[in-house]
Amino acid sequence: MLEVHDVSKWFGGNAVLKGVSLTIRPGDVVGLIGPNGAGKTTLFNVISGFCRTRTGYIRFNHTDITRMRPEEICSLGLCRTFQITKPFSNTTVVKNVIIGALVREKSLKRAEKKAEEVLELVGLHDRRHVLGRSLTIADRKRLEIARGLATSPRLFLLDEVMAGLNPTELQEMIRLIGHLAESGVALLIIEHIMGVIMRLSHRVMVLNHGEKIAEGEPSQIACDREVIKAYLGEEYLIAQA
Amino acid sequence: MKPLNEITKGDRLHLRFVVSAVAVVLALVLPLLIGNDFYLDGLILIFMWGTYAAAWNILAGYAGMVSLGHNAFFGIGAYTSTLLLLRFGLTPWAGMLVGGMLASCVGLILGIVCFRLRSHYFALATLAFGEVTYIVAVNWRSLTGGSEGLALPIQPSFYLFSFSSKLPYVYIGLFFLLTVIGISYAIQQSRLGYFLLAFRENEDAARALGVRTGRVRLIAMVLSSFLSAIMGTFYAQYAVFIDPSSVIRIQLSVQVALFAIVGGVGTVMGPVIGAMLFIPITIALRAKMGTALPGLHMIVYGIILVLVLLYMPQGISTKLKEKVPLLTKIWRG
Repeated sequence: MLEVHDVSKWFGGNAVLKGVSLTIRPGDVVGLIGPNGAGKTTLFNVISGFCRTRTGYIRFNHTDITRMRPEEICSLGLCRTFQITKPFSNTTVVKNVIIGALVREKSLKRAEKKAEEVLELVGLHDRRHVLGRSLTIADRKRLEIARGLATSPRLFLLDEVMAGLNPTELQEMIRLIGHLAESGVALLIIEHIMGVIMRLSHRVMVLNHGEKIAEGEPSQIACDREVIKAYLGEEYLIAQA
Repeated sequence: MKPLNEITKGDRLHLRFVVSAVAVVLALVLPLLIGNDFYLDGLILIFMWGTYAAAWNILAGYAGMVSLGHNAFFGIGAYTSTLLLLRFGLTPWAGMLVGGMLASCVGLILGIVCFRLRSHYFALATLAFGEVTYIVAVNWRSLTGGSEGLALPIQPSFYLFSFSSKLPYVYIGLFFLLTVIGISYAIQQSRLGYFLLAFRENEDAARALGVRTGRVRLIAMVLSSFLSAIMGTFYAQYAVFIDPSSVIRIQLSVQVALFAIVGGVGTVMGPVIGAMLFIPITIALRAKMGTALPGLHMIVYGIILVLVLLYMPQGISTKLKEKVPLLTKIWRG
């Protein structure tokens, strides 16, 4: 469904992504982890069209999206959320979501209906008339997901939707993501909370300094030497041995 | 009367209809009762400036792209219809549409070139465009007559869009005003309005949700420049004389921006409210002070602008909705 082949990105002289490849099949839930600055969000930006790769190509459902703009990519069914949430601040939650729904839905009435359904699903229904700017962090993250879902994505990129949540909110979010996975949407998730990513993902990919250093099932990744080195440093491995 | 929270959707539609109908009937009957050219002139100016400000607002308010080059569109409208009339005897009614379409094309090109710029930079680029248009109009004497301007024939006839009494202008102005209010309202309630809102609030988020931000802004630009040009023709027909400094000078853009900002940018009625506030002040000052203190109205404009921006930065219209909740209950927009 998604085929990322050998993408690279430089910011000035710094290589942020170096020849990264990744494949996602329908229904996959893939975790994307790595230390800060590893290039996770940049990879999202490249896939979703906000940044251009210098090398390689990206295909989504057999369409080459390497040079497409974000809005075109979204209309093909590939949507992303933002790590730093970007609500439409001066308008209500429900209008935020309607905008997402309108991309696929020509009629305002049906878009409204779709928005109501999605809000119900993410648990924002009781706050639908609140302004975007007055939401808490947890609700902003929910709103990001709700807006994205309203565009009916087939592949949904979630960028740290669990960061900054309290334990209760976290449980709700895990349940929501589990629900999305069951409904058949393919997910690519950036997350720092290992317990969560290990539980949710079918497969985990690890980035470090812009390079893929490991990919595999969560249990393999957890004992991978390279991964432990990236997170905890060489000394830790030596101390272990 | 029922408490506000019990007003149903049916009631709301009903109220909306009644209030709108009363306002329209009032606007239709009032001019007949006035019968005084001085006041009728004021009404015409309010309608004209209200329409022009509302047209500006479609781009600046809904898309959030503040243009200071809208004087160019006004001028293109005025000169196109007037030149077509003087050179080819084409009725200004048709010339008005030609002018509108020409302005739309120019707006489209301006948009394609300038939409990559943001906020201040876009405003500055359009300002330059307006200034260049002015200079071209002054110097292209073979076409525009330069600074001497162009005088329109005064032969009252519907075909020539020329009337001996002020009443027809009042009703034509009112028609345009209602049309542009209708268009603004329709935009706000449509897909286009939602997409423009999304762009204005956060461009990245809008694009991530599939909003074609470039295209929707161009649509807003085309509509806005078309309607501005129409008002240019209206002005030419009413004033029967145009020159670059009356129809293309930069102050026109500043003035519409002022009206819309004070009235409430991004609202349907804001620009109209702005015109309803400023035009009477201008006329009254001119009538009372005569030429004793020329430019006094600019000082008053400045004072009003400062006060409004201090106490109601969202504009009068938005403040009004906060203070009179009934209005919001009737019009959700």
